[in-house]
Amino acid sequence: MAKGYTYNHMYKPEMLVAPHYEIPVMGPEFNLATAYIPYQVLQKVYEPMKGLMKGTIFPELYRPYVKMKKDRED
Amino acid sequence: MDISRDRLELLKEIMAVDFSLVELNLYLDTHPMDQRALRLHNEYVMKSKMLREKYEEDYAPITHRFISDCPWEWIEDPWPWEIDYEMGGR
Repeated sequence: MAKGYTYNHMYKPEMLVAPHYEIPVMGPEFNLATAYIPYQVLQKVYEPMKGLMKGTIFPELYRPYVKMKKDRED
Repeated sequence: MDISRDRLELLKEIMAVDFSLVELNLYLDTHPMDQRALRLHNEYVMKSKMLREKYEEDYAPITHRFISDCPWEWIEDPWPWEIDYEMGGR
């Protein structure tokens, strides 16, 4: 850990960023203003042909864009 | 230019296994100790090798790394964009 100022906030797992935002507060081991990507854990994988058609073999990464009804005119 | 249904099916199978290998490659780069992923990788390497050998034996080379007669055989077969992949669609 780098020397200097540590952002040492009080932390409880159930804390939210603000009452009306349902964003959980992250633990003190996470530095402010740094982006995090959760580490993937291998689950089931699609069989090869299904994976090729879906664009990934990892079901947890399969997030197709869903066609939405246009709700405003630009 | 048309290729046979059987040839197309085999080509698609190779593409699918090779895609799975790319995915596992990326996963293993960050999870080098994941034995399940490694087993799957090894299984697909064998499968890809087998399918490619079958394809090259029955039909045509998959890469340019092959010993050719004259004239250069690589250009005898359809280019990837000339193949109708929807034939027998999946």
